[in-house]
Amino acid sequence: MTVLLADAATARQRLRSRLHSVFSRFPIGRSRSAQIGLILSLLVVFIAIASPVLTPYDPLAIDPGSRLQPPTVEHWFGTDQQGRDVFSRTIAGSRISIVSAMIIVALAVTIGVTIGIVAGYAGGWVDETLMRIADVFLAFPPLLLAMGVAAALGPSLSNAILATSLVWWPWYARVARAEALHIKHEGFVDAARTVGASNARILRTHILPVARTPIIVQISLSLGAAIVTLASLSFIGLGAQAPTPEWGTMIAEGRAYLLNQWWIVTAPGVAIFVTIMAFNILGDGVQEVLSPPEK
Amino acid sequence: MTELLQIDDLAIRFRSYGHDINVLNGVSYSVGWKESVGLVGESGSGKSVTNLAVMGLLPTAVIDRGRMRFDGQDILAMGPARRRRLRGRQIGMIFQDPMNSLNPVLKIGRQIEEGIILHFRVSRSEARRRAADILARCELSDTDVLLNKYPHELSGGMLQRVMIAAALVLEPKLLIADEPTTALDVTVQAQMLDLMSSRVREAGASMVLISHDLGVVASVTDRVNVMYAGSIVESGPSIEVFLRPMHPYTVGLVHSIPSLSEDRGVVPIDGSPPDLAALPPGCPFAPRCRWRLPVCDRIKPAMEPIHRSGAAGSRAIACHNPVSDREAASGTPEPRAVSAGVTQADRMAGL
Repeated sequence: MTVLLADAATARQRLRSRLHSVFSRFPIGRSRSAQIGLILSLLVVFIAIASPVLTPYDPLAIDPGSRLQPPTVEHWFGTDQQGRDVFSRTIAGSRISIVSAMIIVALAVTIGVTIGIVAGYAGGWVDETLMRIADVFLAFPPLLLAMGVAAALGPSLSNAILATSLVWWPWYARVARAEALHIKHEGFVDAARTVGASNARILRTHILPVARTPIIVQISLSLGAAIVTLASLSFIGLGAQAPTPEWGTMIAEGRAYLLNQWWIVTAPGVAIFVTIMAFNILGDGVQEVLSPPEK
Repeated sequence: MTELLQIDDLAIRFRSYGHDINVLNGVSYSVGWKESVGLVGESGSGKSVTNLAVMGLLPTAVIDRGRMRFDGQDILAMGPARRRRLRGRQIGMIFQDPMNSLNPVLKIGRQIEEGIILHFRVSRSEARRRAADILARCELSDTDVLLNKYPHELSGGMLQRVMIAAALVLEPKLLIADEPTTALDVTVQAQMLDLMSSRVREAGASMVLISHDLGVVASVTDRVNVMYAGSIVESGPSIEVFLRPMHPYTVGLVHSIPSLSEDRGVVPIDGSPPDLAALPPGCPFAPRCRWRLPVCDRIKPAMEPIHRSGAAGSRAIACHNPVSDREAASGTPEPRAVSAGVTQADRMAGL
């Protein structure tokens, strides 16, 4: 029994020191916007995760008898042209938006960071070739390019996600390349080489971990933008398709009723606004906390 | 028996914006088994480049000529994979700045274990055991705590011990230490040299010690090579060279070391090292040399063995006008009857 207690005590101590090391590495206490952003973002993510429990009605259930109702006690955000509960649809939409945004960023980071650190580390013609390819993507306005790619692939949510990631990887590539460029001249990279480490190993164990901070900043700054881009594609019909409770799609469907039944577009619009703001404040805060102080 | 490391007539240049910089102009030296050899010279004399070339860490350099053999194998003929197996396992290297030689975001243990796992087929726990073991032998205590620390939590001296440990744990046949004490406090420099040379001796390995401090090198190495402008200008047993230098540049190096016992100030070498992109045709040291003869500006002297009375072991210098012992002690040339254009051999016969 005492042994168990002692074990529990050391385990607790270990957990505390671990938490402490995490917080000392990401000292959010220093930044108010990091704190506010983190709380708002966690709230949004919580809503997304818990959406099946939080929705009072089935977001897809049509009720022709109660269409276009203004906000009431039963339907907090009113109902749309097919009698679906706008509140339920907005909550359900958060899951789609956030999961999609995370997939977009994950894809873009995987492609971009891989290409970026290889380019920066290898240098020479490898660098030139990869970065000129990235420049081609950067030459177009992002939304326009995403529209083009999504249209070419055919309108669907997964194609919109793919299109947006394809547009975004060059930003990560540039950040990762810039990091690799200066990290590769550090003494510890030479030291690793003198121990006989291969290039792949040096990239994985020495360059990537050191480069992660600006990449994390870039990720936190672009989550919000991913949600807008996706909603925009859905709004013009290239993203999620009709019955899906996606915010962009909901606004597109409800815009005909804007003048008389304002709640149909307002709810998803406000949801987009709040979510993006949460992620952007978090992004600013993360940047503030992780970047060295500016002189 | 062949030497452990044999470098012959190595010439290397860097390409820089159209013109070439000749960093090494025919360097030859060798390191025997269980021998420690010093390499001394000013910044830019090519002492580090020579050893980076041995390690194969000069991707942009052009090797014009020369041969490098390690343990009987031609290093330059090896493919990248074989050279990688050589690095660390056969030839270890310690750099000048320990703060910069460790990855700041990885724990100490992980960085020592990396090499072990790379070169030996052992489990992670065995690698950790070996890492703790070698740290203890490098006079560090609380090794289990230490292995879980990040580099910024350690002092410079401790970090350099870690670097020495990380190199020695792979049991290399040759350890190259590139100014291993320059970034450290004076108080720990001696400890570090002592630790390094005794561990190398215990392991039956050889060592190359690179430094600009002839005194430091003389105290821990068997033989020394003095480098200037990409060439070796004097070589011989360390104590001999230190006490009785024969090349004017070596004399300058000795006199530029502050001395506590002797009543003399520090005497700097006038001028600065030559532009390696435009080396003069004669001796590279001639413009700064107080023993200069007219021939020095025209013909570059070659390394030639020297047998002087009282000199033990084999010494060699590249100089038309070697410094005598009395001149070496005073640091100033004495007038002598010499005619312009005498050869090195003629002069040696006269001494």
